Amino acid sequence: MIELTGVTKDYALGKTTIHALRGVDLTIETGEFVTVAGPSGCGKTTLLNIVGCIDKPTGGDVLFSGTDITSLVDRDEAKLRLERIGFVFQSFNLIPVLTVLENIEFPAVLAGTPRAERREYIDYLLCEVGLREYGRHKPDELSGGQRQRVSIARALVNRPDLVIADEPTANLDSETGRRILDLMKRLNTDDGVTFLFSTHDPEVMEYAGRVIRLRDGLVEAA
Amino acid sequence: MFFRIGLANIRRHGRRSALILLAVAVSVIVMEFMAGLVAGMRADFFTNLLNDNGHVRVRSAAVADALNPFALDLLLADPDSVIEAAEAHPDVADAESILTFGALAVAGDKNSPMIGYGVDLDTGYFTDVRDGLVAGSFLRRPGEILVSESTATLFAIGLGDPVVLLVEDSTGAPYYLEYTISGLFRSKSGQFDDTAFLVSMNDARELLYVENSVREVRVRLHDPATADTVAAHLRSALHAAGAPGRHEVETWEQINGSMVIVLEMFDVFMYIINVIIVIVAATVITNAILMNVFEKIREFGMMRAIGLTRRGQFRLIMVEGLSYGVVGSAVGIVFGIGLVLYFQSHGISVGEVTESLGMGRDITTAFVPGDAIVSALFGMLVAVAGSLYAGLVATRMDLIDTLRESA
Repeated sequence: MIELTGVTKDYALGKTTIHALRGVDLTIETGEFVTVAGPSGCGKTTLLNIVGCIDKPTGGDVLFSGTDITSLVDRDEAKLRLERIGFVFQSFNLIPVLTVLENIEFPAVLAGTPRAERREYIDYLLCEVGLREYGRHKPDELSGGQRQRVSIARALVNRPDLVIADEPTANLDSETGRRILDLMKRLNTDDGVTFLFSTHDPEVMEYAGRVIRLRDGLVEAA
Repeated sequence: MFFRIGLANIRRHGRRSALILLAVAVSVIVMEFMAGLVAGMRADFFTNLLNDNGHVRVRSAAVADALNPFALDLLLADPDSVIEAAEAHPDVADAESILTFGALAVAGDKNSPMIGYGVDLDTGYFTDVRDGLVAGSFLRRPGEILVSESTATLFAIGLGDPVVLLVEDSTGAPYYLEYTISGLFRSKSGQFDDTAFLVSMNDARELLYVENSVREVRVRLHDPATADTVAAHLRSALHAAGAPGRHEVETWEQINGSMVIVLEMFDVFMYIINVIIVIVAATVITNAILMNVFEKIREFGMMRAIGLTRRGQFRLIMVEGLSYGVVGSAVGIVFGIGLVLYFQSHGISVGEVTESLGMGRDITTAFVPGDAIVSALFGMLVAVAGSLYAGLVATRMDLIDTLRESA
């Protein structure tokens, strides 16, 4: 599904150039449950942003189901993110003025999914993430774990090919974090959703089917 | 959903939203009030001043250069022919004679020089006096006089009391007659009230010993815009009747030239005020909306990360701005219309300033629905313009940079 070849990413920091990625090669197959692991500053988030079309690499190729996404224009990138990629952020990033149901629904509204169809699927997702009774609640009425589950449901609402989660358990206690990972694992196992997530926590790495270790912008082992 | 987010964000930002809404509302209130003020002044001028003074005036040509405009050798000797010529024109609603003269009013041991108006008992003019009656009735028969409430207070007289009018008649001799007060009035003009009284036309002619003469003929038109045409018609008709140069025919624009200039100045003044309002409001609103937008930049980044396009982000910002505009304008127009309606019935007293301009002691506003719509639309436009700038700035940012902004 995802193929990276020689991907580099440089940032200018004043007069200095930071080489966040120094030539990353990797592939991710459909249905995998992959984690990108490494210490802080190794390039995990940069890698996920490039795969998710949030950032463009300085060099190299990124193929998403055979399509070179590095040459896409802004509008096509947004379309790809909307229809084929789901995002789960470390700090949940829910829209505070919308209810749980509306937060999950938001990407489906952007995609133009008919109301009846999207509401039916959202009901299913709310059940899957265990938040059926919380549809009308606002994000600030939920715990951290509940918000992250809403975030996961939102990432799944347009039935993406890939869900990218950047340190999804970093802001959660260990027990809640385990539950989130269990949920993600179940969705991967039962529904075949491909997950690519980052972590620096060894306990979280144990959940992954495959661990890609990054150090100083390079893949150590795949 | 975008409108829901926009309206919800208005509630979310609390004080800043209140500031934006206040800026929009105040700008709408001021615009609406200014529009009402100018509309009221125009209404006062066109309906009151013009209706009462006529749209075309005919008087003796010698009045313009005379030292004493009340001299009895400056009267029109043939008012009937003037009225006949006027009423022959289809644009003329009616024509009427007025005999203005100077007199010394005496009551008891008090006296004062005043200006008298000899009018038909069923005159269509002096509606300000008729509407301003505070006691008694308008002139009903010869031998009656109408004075102002302030004059009555000055003279310590009331309904039914006698007033003696002393004049120098057309022969140059002093002459006086006594009249009974039939009514007391309070007009919109303090200056008029302090100096004027009304008697019947026949009484005035008898007092002045002028057979059929009048000071002027006032002509009222169906449409004031036809004044030039009617005036030209009258000049040629009077010339053809064998009286070239004896009459001076003036339109309302010529009679009230200074007032017309004042109204035009007020139009310009209002335009300048509106421009200033828009600039100040737009600055306040743009700054506040920019702060709102950049406070949410990471949130917008998240939305773009999950598929919102730049255009969608721009639309979200514009919807929020439009929501501010709609809500602020709605509040502003309610208060603005309320203000206009209040001063429409109560007037704004500015005393000598408006008196000197011939507008009476009070200015009244006038509610014009079209002005209210324009004011409300302006409020919305200002909010939308502020959001436009914020939207253009925010959507230019790269997605990765928006996500990097701290929450």
